[in-house]
Amino acid sequence: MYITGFILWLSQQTSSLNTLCHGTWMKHKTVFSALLIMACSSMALGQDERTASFSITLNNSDGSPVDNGVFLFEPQFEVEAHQMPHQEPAVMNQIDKQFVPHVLVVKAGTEVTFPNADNLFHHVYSFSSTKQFELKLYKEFTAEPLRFENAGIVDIGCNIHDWMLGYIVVTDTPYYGKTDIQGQGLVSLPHGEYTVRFWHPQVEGEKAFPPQSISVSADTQVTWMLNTNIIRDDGFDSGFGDY
Amino acid sequence: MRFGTQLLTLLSLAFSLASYAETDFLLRGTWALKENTQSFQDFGQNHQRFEDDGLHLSQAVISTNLRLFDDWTLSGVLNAYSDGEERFNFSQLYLKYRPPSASSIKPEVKVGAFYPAISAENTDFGWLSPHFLTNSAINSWIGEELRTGGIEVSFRQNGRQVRSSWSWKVLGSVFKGNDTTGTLLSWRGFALHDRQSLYNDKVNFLPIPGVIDEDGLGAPAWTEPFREIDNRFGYYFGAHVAYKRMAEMRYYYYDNNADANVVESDRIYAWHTRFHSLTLRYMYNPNFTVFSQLLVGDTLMGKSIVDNDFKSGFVAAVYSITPYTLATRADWYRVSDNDNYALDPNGSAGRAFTISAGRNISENFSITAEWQVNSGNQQNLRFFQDNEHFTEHLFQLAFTATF
Repeated sequence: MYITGFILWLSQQTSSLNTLCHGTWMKHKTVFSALLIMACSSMALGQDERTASFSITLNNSDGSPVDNGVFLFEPQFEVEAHQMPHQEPAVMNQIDKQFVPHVLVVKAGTEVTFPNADNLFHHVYSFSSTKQFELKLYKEFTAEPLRFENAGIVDIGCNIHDWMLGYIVVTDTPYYGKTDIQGQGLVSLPHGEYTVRFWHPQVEGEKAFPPQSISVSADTQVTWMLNTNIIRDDGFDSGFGDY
Repeated sequence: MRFGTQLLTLLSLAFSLASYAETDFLLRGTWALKENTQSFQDFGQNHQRFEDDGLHLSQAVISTNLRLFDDWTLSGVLNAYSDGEERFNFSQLYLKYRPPSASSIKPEVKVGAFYPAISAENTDFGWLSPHFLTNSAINSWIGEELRTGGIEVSFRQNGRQVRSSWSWKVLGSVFKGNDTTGTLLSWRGFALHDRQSLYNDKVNFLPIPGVIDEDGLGAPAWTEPFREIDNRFGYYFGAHVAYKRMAEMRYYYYDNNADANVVESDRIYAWHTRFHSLTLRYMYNPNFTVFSQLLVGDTLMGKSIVDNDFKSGFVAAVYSITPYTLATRADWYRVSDNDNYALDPNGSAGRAFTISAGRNISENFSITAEWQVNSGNQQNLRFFQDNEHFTEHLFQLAFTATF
């Protein structure tokens, strides 16, 4: 109510200014109008420019921290291009017969590079419907990056080292977070309404943590608890053969 | 001339397509202080591999995996030793077909000469043990007398891929060229060492009068472990089950299906040898692992000329904290003679205890000290000494370089 009034008042003031100082004003008119339109459209959608820091602590039902938990925040408002967070270069490395990171989250359309830091072969593949590919990665070799266009989960494996498994979570939303070894995740979110969905490689996400609606209007810290307990994966041990 | 051909073959394997080959080199010099009796390799009664005290080239290994074309790999292990009869040759050479598969149950085919994956301790490249200088009684014998020239087909499922804690593998193989297996267990008994038999190798043993004499069996005091005699196929099958990366069990049944009545002109017999093998491994934490194997089988040569049961087991524990490794193992073994041929008593039984300590000096160099005592009774020793008892000590100090 007050904001709409302020915009109307501002429009009136700019008309007056336009009449008074025509020459100078003309130089800035376009920019100012653009800003005004953006402000108006933002207000019209009930959305402002502010962002909040949304901090998650994710625990198992027994209270122990959960790593590699992915939270996708689907905005219930239209996201402007300038609100899109910057996508860091996405890398799925292979170090000591492990995919690093174990779980990589990228926005749909992102290119992912697959370097091989190991001094041995990896034969990386995916048969997931989201993205199918096969990369023969010789020692210390980086393949041409692959673009992940469609949202979904991509399970990746190594045909030589069966225990090597990794996941690429391709999202439509630009807002997502992943928990670290302490179960901590941090996302920067524009103020507004979101549906939050959970995914984890070892459980069915919706069962472990049903989707929920949240409203973000200030910096927030939450502790979320799963309905289940996820036991952390073991690392690779070559003494145990090839599966 | 043959050495030259082998070396050229290996060099072409290892280097001609270097970017497509993974090659590991290992060189181990061992200073050994052994029992002052003659080694079986020198037709003596001692069960140790080295023929005298001093420095030996105990292992020289080039192991390579060459990516040939889509999903096919050629693997070869070339060994050199300063002891034994065949001192430079391949111990394994095989093709592996391992296609990626959309199914969580994945196939693999191996064709050539290789070890069935029975061992819990020989997990390093070239079938070496990462923890001990000498292998257990079971795996010393596997290294000596067991290599299958054939085809193995397996199917496996990695539990991690299907959100299960359990992984499994089933496999089966048909093979040829393993018809004399059982000879050493019967005529020499179990031994503990790390000398793998190579292609075309010959393993000597104590010349027991009832075996070598013309009025006895008239057989030579050596065996060729990988000789084909009866032209029949042998087979083995097995199953692996693993709980996460924490515990694993492997069961194998092996039957070389040899016709025990076939003998070649140089008096080398086919031995019908069968065994069950159970392998267990438990990783308590990344620093501490225990593992164990059990072997129960029998062997038959001729119409009950030799009819023996054999069994052996070991329990081993390894504690490693970078850069140190401490490993210990207790072995027991027994061969029971069931036939009535009195001139060839095959019964033997013994126990061994091994303790090994290693330190990695750098990424490429390590030193290992190992002490072992092996003692028991062997009936055929009575032809060579006052009693059937033996006690053998072995101390080794090894310097290993890997590249």
